[in-house]
Amino acid sequence: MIYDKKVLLRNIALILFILLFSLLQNTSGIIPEPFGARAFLLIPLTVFIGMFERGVSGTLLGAFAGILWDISSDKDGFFGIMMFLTAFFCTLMITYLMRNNIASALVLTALCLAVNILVFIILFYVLSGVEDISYFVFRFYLPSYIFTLLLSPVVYLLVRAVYGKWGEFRRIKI
Amino acid sequence: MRRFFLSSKAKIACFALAALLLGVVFAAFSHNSSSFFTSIVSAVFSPLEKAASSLSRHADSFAVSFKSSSVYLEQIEQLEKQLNESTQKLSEYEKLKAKVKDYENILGLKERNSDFVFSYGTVISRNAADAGSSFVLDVGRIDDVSVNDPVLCDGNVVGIIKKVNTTTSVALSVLDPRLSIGAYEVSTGEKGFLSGSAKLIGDGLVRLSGLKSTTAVVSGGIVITSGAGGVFPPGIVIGTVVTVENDEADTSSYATVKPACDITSLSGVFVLTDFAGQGEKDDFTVDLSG
Repeated sequence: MIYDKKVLLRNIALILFILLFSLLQNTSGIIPEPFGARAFLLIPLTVFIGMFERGVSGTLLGAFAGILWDISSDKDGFFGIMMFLTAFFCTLMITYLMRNNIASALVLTALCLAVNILVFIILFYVLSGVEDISYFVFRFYLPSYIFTLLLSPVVYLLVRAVYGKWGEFRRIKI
Repeated sequence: MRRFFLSSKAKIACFALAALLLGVVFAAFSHNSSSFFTSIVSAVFSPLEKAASSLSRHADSFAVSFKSSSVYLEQIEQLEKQLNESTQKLSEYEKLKAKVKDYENILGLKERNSDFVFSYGTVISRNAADAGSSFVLDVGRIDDVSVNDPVLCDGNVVGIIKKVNTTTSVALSVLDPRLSIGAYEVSTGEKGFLSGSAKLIGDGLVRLSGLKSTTAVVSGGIVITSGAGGVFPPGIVIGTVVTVENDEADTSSYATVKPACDITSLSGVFVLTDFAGQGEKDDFTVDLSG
């Protein structure tokens, strides 16, 4: 019973985090935008949920984050699929290849951010025939990438706190 | 008894009674409704009355400091409740005021185009990953909004609906390079197509391409929709020309246009859900990507 209660509370906390970060990310004026850069907070959140939660539940939570993001996107399903794949990939990496620590978290965040942004640019702009995409890359996406990476340790600490309180593994090695 | 009525005291009493009766008669006939006795007494004793009243007030305030804290707490709660209600009413008033202003701005457009059907919406969020400033509105299918409905702000074009949910919809702004609108400059009549540009989006500008190399379009010119493609009705203002430059790719020219509304700070907008000629294509069909 204690185990089930922990899982329930943990999942509720993660769902609330997803809702909160979705609002923070997609509402202008809440998070500062230095030099026009935006924070894509749902991506690091999905990475860390995949790392800590593992398995099907982590992947489904990632998909939920993507579906929330899709509400504000003009292309339905893109972020749902991408966040699903991101969480699944992170789950696999932590289960078979990497350790769950802050260094792995940052490496996976950097990698997943880059892949998500790249795929977004290709599908939304390159295939639509938009010209001068390098301006988008260097004036918007690169600064946003760096800004999101800088904020990701804060997200990591929050997710780790949830697992510290209600997780199966009480001690997380740094 | 006879001695009493003949005594000096009785005479004085009768004299006083007579004077009082005389005063009453005088008060009845005077416009002040006041007898001379009352006036004299009032003049003499009113300062005393003022002093007594002042003392009474001070006594009240003195007594207040001995009230228990629970009385104060109750008063504070009541005042806080009133303050909250007033704040809410003020907030609703401000929202209504902004909405009325939006409606006033669109009224002129509606009077000129009686076939326009609008749905008022508010910008509620945006897609953080979209550099083209797309935005989400709180109107959807239930408000008769459909894909490719124009979005206007203060009677000017600001975007187009690209995705419709039941109660929300997503619009691409005119800054988005994926959006292309048939347009022309008013004074010269030169036609072109207006689209966002990755190069200009940082400055909040769009590009009117396809102008002649010998174009007469100059800075300050007004760019309006041509109605080509049947997506946007003709004659709606998009923005004003900032600069005119030669296109690097070919021999044509292009103009940089500043949208009439600030796309990054939109709040209330109107979705044009229906107008005469919507969806009817003509010879100058403009393809919209996506």
